[in-house]
Parts: sequence; structure tokens; C-alpha cells
Amino acid sequence: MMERRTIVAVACGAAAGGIVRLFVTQAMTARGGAPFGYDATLLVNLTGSLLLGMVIEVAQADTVFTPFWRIFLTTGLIGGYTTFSAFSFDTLELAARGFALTAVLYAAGSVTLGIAAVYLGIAAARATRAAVRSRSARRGQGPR
Amino acid sequence: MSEVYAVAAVGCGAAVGGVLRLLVTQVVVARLGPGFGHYATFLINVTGSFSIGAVYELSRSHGGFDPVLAAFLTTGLIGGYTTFSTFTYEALNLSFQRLGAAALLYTVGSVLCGVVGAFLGVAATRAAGA
Repeated sequence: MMERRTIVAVACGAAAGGIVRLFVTQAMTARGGAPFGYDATLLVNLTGSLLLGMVIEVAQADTVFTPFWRIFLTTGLIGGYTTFSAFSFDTLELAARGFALTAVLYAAGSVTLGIAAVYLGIAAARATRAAVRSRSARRGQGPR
Repeated sequence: MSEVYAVAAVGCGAAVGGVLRLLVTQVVVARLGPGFGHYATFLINVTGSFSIGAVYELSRSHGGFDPVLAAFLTTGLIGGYTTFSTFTYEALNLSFQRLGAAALLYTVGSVLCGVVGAFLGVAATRAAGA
């Protein structure tokens, strides 16, 4: 049912994504971030949402990525980079430590800003494509 | 030097977690249909949240896991298994399909069930006396 290439693509992508998430978390903790690093989780989840919007939009409209690279980037790299478990656990920890308002703001902010980031990513990919097309049309090459 | 092992542990854990996520998604989509990917993501994120609560409590009651094991399980395996970007993408996609109520239910439901799942993971481990 499942192709070996797909499994390899997702495994390699998710490994890289998880390591990047670790580095971002460590960098933010080293700079003295929020307790138990929920600010790092927020940064990871927002940048990941932005990137996923961009990549899926580019992959849908163009033949930029082969299926292998598409699933490597989406399900693998960006899927492994972002995390929902840390998000839920951070929210629970904030609430358990008595920061109920911060917990609600963190949860609501992550979700609304995350969805807005996907939208921005899609819009940025479309705008870039339109700009590239109009430039090549002006050169008389026509859209490719 | 344990830093290198932690990075390797996260890489290995996230690889396994990502493939598990792929498997769950493919099984759910094969059973329910191609438009049901967000059911799979919901299932993944809630079970992952339960697991992180359970692992956290297990580690706490054992005076802390070995840092490399903790990195493998939490940041690696469970962090790589769950996903936030697919969740936000699907929520936006549902609203693009004029399924506003479904999008709202999906987002609010995922967050609530995720947080409750993490809590239940802690509580179940504590109740089991593990």
C-alpha cells in the first residue's frame, strides 16, 4: 500500500524538521526565553504554518516539486518541524501553574496566528508567481 | 558530547514519529475517503498530546529520564508524530470550502481535546502508579 520512497522521504524530512525545532528551542532558551519554552513552540508553529502554505501553493500550481520532494517537504520536513503535543502540553502547564489568562491567550493566539500564517504563505507564493509570470511575459517569453 | 547524542535522538525519534503520522493518515484516508485527512490529524494530535502527558509524568515520577531518552521520546518521537502546520492548513482549507462550522469545530475541538488529552495522560499515568 505504501511506497518505500514515500516512507524514506517522510523519515528524512521529519528527522531534519525535528532537529531544526530542537535548535530553535535551544537558541531561544539560551537567550532566556519564556518558562519551559512555549515562546519557541509558538515561533516554530507559526513559521512552519507560513512555510506549509507557501510550499503547498507552489506544489499545487506548478510542477516545481516531484511527488518525492513534495512529501519530503510537507509531511516530512514541515510536519516534523511543527508540533502539536508541545503546544497542548505548554497550554496545560501554563494553566496548571496558575497562568490561566496566558494559557488562553497562548492557545487562541497560536491557532489564529497559525491560520493567518498559512494564508500569508499561500498569498506570498501566489504574488511571487504572478510577478515572475508578468516579468517573463514582458520579455516576450510568455508564461512557462 | 551528550549534545550530539541528543540531536541524533531527536532525529531518530522524529523520523519514526513522522512515518507513524504518515501511516495513521493513510489508514484513516483509506477507510473514510480523501476528504478526511483532518480526522487523521485530529486523532494524531490528541493521541500525541495524551502521550506527552504520560511520558512527562512517567519521567517526573522516576526522578527524570536520561536526557537522551527524554529527547528521543518527547522532542523527537512525539514532537515529530504530532503536527501543527497540517492542523492550521486544514482549518484554513475547510473554511475555503465554505465549511466554516467544520473549521471552527475542528480548531476548537483539536485544542480542547489536545489539552484534555495531555491532562488525561498525566492523570492516567499517576492513577496507574507507574
